[in-house]
Amino acid sequence: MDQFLQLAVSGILTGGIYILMASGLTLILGAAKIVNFAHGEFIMLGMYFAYWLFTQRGISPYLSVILAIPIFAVIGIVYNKLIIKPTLKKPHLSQVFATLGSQIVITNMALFLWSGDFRSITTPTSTKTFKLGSLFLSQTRLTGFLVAVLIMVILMVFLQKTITGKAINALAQDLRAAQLIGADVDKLIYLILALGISLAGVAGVLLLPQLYAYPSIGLQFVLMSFVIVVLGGLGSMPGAILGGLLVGIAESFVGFINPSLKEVAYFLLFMLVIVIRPDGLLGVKGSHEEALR
Amino acid sequence: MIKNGQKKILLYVFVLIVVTFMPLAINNKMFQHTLVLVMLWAGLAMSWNLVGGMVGQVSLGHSAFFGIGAYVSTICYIYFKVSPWLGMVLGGIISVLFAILISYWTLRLKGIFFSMVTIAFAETVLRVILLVCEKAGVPYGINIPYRPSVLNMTFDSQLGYIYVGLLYLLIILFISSKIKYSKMGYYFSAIKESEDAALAVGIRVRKYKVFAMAISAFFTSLGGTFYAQYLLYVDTASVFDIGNIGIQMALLAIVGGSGFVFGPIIGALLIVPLRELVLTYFGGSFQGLHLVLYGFILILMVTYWEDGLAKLLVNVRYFSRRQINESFRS
Repeated sequence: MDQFLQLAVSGILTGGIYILMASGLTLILGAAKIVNFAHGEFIMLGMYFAYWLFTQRGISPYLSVILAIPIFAVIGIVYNKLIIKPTLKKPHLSQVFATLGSQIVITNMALFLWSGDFRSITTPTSTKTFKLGSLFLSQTRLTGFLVAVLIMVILMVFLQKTITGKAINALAQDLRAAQLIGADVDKLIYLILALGISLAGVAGVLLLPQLYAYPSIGLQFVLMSFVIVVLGGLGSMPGAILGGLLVGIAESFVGFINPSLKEVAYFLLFMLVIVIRPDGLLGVKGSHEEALR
Repeated sequence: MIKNGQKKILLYVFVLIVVTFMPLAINNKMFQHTLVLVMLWAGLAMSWNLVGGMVGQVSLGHSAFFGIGAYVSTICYIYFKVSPWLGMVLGGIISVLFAILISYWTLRLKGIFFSMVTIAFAETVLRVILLVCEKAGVPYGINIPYRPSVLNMTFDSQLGYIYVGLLYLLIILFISSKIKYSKMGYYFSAIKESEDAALAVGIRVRKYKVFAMAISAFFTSLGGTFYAQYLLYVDTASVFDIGNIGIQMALLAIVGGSGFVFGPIIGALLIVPLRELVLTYFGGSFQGLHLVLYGFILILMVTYWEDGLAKLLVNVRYFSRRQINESFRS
């Protein structure tokens, strides 16, 4: 029983950061209706960003997070201008391959610039664990989780309480209707990309203490993010939270049984959910249809 | 006066003769190696195009079929002493079974969701195979014994591979064009344009989707076997690699022009030699640079030139025929 709880808690803690990864994508996919295959690459960049700041300047990742937010927001804006906007009006395939092409470019530039070596950092708190009752909580994971929760709370307040946030929700529900009532879709999409990529970068920064970074890790991240987004429901923040936690827990349990099957677990889950309930667990009914228009 | 139709056939025969005898004339190893790869990838890209370009089902997980082909024939050859040709057919059949499975599973899915599931599928197949290898004691990298003979699909010179590759390419080209300009091909186009409209008109969409995937998988699988026998080495992670295999097939088809039967061939003709060149000159020191180039080309092509390079050729032909007709009138 103890072991079960331990695995579950571990999963939840890691899941917190997965939520961050997926929240960015659910905004981009759900609200802007953009299939961002390169999402994982920005997470990877976030990891390297934290890595270089830590090894070159001794800045803790938990501080780099603050720096990462505006930097990655700008990256998101540039990404939108260069890649996304030109392909918005084109057939769906173009968008898919444009983001896929970006994924290929970014991953291999990283490989070229920084080599394929695995990079990891050890912070002063890396090995510390808290004891809560009979459970052991790794401090690294706990801190990452708490920061992720903080950011998610701020994000959700923004989405639900401000006009702009509500506009984004409107886009997610029905893009054309939102346009009709006066939402400036162009500007909103810039904002969505800035937010989404920023979240991805932040997630990467928070993940570095827990994982090692290498150029091709992006692919794993983007696939996992898609799984979480579909699981939770496109455009749904609560969905991203639930999905992130579920995937974190699933990974924890399956990883215990057999580490090589971790990915298989959530891929199978993905293939099941997408056919049985394509709107996701907490998604708006019909949102998956909407995403295809 | 040679009629237009006959002119076309003459052109094809001419090209065929050139392609058949050119390898004999040019003895450069690099050239021959690139030629084998071009033909393999042209065939693979055309196979992908059957389901990706003609039906519009963008599968990014075709690497699974390629890997299955490479693996099944190799395992059969090494552990069961079965000729790779038979192993190839067996691999093809297994791929078809998987294709039918995944196609049925994703029947209701459209657009990006379909693509995502194909990726998930390919990843799952890779992981499961890696696990099975580990448990069964099969090495991750398998060396295929060098026993040159036609029966073993192993040749002592590049020429053998070139001609087998040519055969592969021609068969797929033939089947591709047969399908495209037949009733089934028009059904495929209809499904691609609008699945709902096709259903409304009475086309059995499910059947054709599954069929397209099955044929595509079969030929992709054959390519996998050929590749394994050419390299005489199968690296599990590589043959099932989504990026290098699955996406590349799609890339070649799209860059070349997925709307045309010969489009993928053009894509292969351009990209494969380019890739080999970049690999040779930059391979060691500038790791990954060739893929960066790839990515850029892909982005540029889909943003500014969705029809692919083949459109250039078609336009040129149309233009010159009009010119000729107009000059007749004056």
